[in-house]
Amino acid sequence: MAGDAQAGITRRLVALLTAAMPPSRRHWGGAMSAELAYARSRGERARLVLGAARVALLPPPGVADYRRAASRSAALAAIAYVPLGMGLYLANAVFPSPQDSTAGDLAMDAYLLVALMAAGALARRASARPGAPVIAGIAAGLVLAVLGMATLAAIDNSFLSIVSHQPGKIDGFRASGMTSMRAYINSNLEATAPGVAIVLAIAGAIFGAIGGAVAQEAASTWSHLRRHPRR
Amino acid sequence: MKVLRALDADPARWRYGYELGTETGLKAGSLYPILVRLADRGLLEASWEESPPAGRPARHLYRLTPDGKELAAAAPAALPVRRTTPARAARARRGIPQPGDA
Repeated sequence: MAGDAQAGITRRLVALLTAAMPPSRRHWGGAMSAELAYARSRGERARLVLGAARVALLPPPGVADYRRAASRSAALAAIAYVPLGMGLYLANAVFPSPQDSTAGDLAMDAYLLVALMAAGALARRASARPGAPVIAGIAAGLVLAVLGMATLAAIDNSFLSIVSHQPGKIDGFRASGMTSMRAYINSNLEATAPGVAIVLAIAGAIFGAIGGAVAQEAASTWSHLRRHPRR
Repeated sequence: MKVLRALDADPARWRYGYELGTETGLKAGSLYPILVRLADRGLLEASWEESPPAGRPARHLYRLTPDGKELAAAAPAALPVRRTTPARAARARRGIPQPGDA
């Protein structure tokens, strides 16, 4: 009798917890509710209720995957940024050149694209969700944009006497009509930052998706070779 | 990883939650959130039992998707699955408690 009452309570608890799950997960509540009918002890029933509670508390499907993809790619972008930041410091403060280096700019752009593709590839390896490489690429692009703009702001303000000799800055300063080179540089950085963030986020979405597709292709080729080794 | 490996031991067969719990040593409180996450990541497919025992509800059944099999094949063999004899697996399928099960 007491067993029946306890079974009824656990059934109601699982039903309540099932109602608290996202609609796409409610069949899991049904699964645990069905298992209750096969449970032989109070302990088993209690553990099924605990399982239902834990499933109800899980983040909605996809959110955890996307969050993980974004945080991993943000970390990857921060690490990948180190040589870029060093390059910006060396090119602007240590070995300043009156002319922009086209080869240097191209190398930096290529490195950025490879970093964005690597973020997408990492996300594809971690998650089967189709949007994960895109989210990872966007996150990596935003991190690179923020770090890049922060580095330029730090270099321009710390080495103002050096960077103020750059022809582009001199011309821009004259055209701006401003009276302070520092104010001109900072207002220029503020005006440029949103555009840089948007461009890198879009590039991240595109190249993250490409990196994810390349990683998926490489993984399936590798898996095929492992299962059918050539003699 | 234990659950992936248990499912990969016989990837074509549909498994009950109870059977998986027995093989992996995981209790329902831990097992179901793992199954949900595996399904969310496209590594596990679920189905309902077609002919349940009389008077009992249909149970959920699980097996790996092709992506799940790929991941299980690529995973290191560091975590051995609890050994299951054919008789023990058959008892688990019928829902009979195993010696040592809490």
